[in-house]
Amino acid sequence: MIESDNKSEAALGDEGLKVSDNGDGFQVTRNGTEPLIRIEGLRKSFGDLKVLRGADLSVSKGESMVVIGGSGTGKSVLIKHIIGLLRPDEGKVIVKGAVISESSRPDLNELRRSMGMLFQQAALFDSMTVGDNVAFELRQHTSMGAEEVVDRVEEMLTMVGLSGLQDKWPADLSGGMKKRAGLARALAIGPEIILYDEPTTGLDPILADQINGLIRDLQKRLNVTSVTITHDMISAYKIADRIAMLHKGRIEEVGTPGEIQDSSNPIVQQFIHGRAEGPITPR
Amino acid sequence: MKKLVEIIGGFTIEILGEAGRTGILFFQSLATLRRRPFYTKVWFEQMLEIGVRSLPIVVVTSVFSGAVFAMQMWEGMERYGSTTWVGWAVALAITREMVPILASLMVSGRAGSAMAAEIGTMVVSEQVDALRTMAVDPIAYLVVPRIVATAFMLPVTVLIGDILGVWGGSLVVVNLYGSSSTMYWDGIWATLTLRDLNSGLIKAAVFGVLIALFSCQNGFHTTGGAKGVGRATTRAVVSGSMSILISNFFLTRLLLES
Repeated sequence: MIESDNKSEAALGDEGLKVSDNGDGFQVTRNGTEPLIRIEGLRKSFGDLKVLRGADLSVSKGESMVVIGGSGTGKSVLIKHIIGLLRPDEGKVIVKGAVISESSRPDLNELRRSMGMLFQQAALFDSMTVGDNVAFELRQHTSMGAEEVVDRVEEMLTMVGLSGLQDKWPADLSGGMKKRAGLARALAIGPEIILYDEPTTGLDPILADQINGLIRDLQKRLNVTSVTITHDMISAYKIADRIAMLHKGRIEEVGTPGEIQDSSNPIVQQFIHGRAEGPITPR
Repeated sequence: MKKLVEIIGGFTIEILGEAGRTGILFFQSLATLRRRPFYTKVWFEQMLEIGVRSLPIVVVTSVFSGAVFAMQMWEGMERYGSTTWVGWAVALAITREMVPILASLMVSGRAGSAMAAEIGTMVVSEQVDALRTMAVDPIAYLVVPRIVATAFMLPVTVLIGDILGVWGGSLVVVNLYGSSSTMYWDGIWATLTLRDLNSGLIKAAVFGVLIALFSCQNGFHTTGGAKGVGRATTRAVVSGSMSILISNFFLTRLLLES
């Protein structure tokens, strides 16, 4: 909902989001600040398979951005570029003012220390206990003493509802518990940016709702910036400040959950309503 | 004919690719060795895993190889009436060739396959990506400790294997053929040099680096889930073992000439 018709700057809804025209196009920011994450013309192919074909997206500080899209549309590829796991063929990913693909190894690692990532299958280190998994980054990158680490691990595990499970092995946990342990690990170091790769996939609706609540709560309480990729629309509506729809390697539409629901774009409408027939489905 | 050329060409490309990737990993590991942090705790964990836990199979291999070789030597030398040289022949073969090669092949089968399987599983389950996102270099954390541990611990296990192999030979010579223990050991002390021993230990260190490199490289290039992990493990053992046998020829030439 644009509250002002000013071409150069307008406010969106009541979330403090502002639209500005920087000459190259419109950019949405929170309270008019420079986006914390900016993706410009991102292209990536694997052999002959073109996955991203010029994706553009910006995420403001403290914003919860959810990227939706069908399976195989490049959502995971997009998120992996943000944390430097993949290098773009063309285009840029700029995080906190630094171009990820042009950053030196120490600079990239410095940036990564301000980010956390929850992987789709949690990616817990199976040679370590849950407690050691959560403590891993603290031991690597902080000067915390052993007791402080233990306290922090307990705090994180309590926050995700896994208190007392420090000594369990990842193999002993259910899928939902693994996700929550992965979340505790991603949050332990206190990241500024969190990336969630399909946080609710494979979870029962109640557990999915708990994870959604946890993500929303963290974002509000700690003011972290988050990018979530999902195809779970219930989750998207619950945790998003804005939703971006990725289709055929490009961002098809970006808007608040309300705007996405009211979108006149048939691609967006087919996806959010989960219809078998429509422009997304190949004939 | 076309099919045959295709097969040979494909095989050659595969071998060159494997060697190239392993060479790159070697130089990346060397570069990483100069950068902090060193993850020394992981180094010691790997030394325990690769060295100490491989010791039982190396002990069994060495004792029985020494015993069998002593039997063959006794049977052969008895024809020429020169059984006094059995101890020397056993010690020379054990220290220079048999234990370094056999122990390395055993460690390649045991520890090398485990390295490839562990890293391969970590790759397919995104644990290696998770390391990167936490600003931890997978080469520094996973590869370098395994290279250091194998290069250091394989010579240690080979040294233990050398002693036990020669002892295995003495058991046969004394108990099976009724020869005197003094004659066996005197023959060894009089002729075996430190150079003989060192030659085997140097080889073991080189083989250790090769085992770790081929295993880690195959682990890192795992694709395709559980089947891919199985394939990577097999390739790690095959290429590790081949590299041991081939490099042994050149190492032997080098060490004999030096």
